[in-house]
Amino acid sequence: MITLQNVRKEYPGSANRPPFLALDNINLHIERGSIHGIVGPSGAGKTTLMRCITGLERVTDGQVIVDGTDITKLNAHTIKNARRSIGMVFQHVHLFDQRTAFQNLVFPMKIAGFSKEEQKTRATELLELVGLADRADHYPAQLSGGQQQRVGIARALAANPPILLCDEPSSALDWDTTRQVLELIVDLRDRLGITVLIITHDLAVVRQACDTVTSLRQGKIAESGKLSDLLADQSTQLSHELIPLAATQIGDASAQYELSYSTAHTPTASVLKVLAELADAVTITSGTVETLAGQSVGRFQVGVAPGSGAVDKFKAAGLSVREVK
Amino acid sequence: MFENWNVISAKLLPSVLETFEMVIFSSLFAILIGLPIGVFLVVSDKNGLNKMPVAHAIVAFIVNIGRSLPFIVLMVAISGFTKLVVGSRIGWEAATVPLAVGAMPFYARLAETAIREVERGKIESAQMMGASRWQIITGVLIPEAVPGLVSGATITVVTLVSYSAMAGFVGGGGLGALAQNYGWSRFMGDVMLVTVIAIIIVVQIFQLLGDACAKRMDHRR
Repeated sequence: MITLQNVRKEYPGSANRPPFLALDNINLHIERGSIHGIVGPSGAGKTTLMRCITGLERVTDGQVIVDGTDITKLNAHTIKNARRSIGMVFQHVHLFDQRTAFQNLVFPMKIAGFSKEEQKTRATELLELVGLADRADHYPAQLSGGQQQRVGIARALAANPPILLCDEPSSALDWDTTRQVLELIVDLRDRLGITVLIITHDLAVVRQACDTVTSLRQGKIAESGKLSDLLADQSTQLSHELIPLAATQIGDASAQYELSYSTAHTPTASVLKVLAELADAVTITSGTVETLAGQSVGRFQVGVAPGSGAVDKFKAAGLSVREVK
Repeated sequence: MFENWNVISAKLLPSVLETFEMVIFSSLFAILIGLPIGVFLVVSDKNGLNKMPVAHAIVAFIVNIGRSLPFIVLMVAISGFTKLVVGSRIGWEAATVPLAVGAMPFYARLAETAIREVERGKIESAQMMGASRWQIITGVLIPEAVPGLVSGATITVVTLVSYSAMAGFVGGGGLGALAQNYGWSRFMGDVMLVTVIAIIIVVQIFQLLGDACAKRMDHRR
């Protein structure tokens, strides 16, 4: 649905500012009907990538194919039509303050040339879909943050775009509201078959909603793939970041290791067996197990008594082992 | 105290009405023409929707000339144009012309400021819907700036009340003329006092109306 080929974006420098390479050799394919997360720290290029997909920003090099159209080839005029295939949800929502929830939904439909009756019925339907049928005549200022974001999502979907783009949809919301908004997005994908792209710095968002994920670091793709594959492969950075371990203080002199496994490769039984076998030599100082994308992923920090040969036994049992300094 | 009560009772009401007429007509023209100029100043700016740096600089320069001319000078300077439009250089109808011309750049700047306040994100969200420039101007920039545009209009109207009083001293009509012809020239202190009070009341009425309008039309909180 969205394909990026060799995308490069460079901001030209000026007298007192060197040129800045924001995106470097980005290749990405997002399947129709999937929910794809783009993660990375601030300044990694997430927002630039999003703006290049919408054509709000022009790429320096490469192709951006959205719903079959290479938008890098379009001019200011023809891009208007291409943009209608993307519904956009903004970090700060950006609802029109002087319009009611209902009028906010009608505006994009007016632009897309829907008839008056269509505008009315569809706006009513959409408000029902996002659970705000009773708030139709409320102005944004009269709605809570979560409700505003719901109206924002409904407005993005108003003109029936096949793609929904969400730029940090959760950063202004508390976690409970975020969870509801993400549930809504997943639900809308299931019902309408839309393709969703979520830009976020919050890996909890990815855990809850995404099928596939790409992590950006300094304008390059660091890791990319299905969430389940990335979790199963304990050598990936994302598998560690998605299921973080609580920080513990290392007390005694014994060597500290971080153990991790995914039930995609290592059955829970063999993990329990090796831990039981080494019960006298190993102390668990922190640990977490979560079931995500159809598999359980566990991570423990352990202290190991010297000379017990525990590390080899862990490896033999299918755990991945990393020494903690 | 009111030894000139006959003058006050005969002249006050017509003068007040003239002032209202001058202010309302000149405000109407100033806003109708000032608003598009304000929109143009925002849209043609170097960060605007339709960058036109040269045209922007020219219009901004003309607006600044209009802003820097003292009203009393403007009134005399364009009296030829005034005669052309209303057929006379004196009377309240004649005063309406320089009042409108003087307030136009004033309101244009106020409208420009109000429209600039509209967040960039709102414009981008409209762009993402595939909106044209015209749809963004009429559907986002102006409607979202309404609270600022209304308070700008109130400021303009109140300013025009004081300008209109000034115009009264050099051949215009209304309360200014009453103050000049009777209060000042004929030393009728009581007429002067009543006129001043009447002007204060007129200003208060416009300010209250404007504030009520702005409050009604502001949905931001």
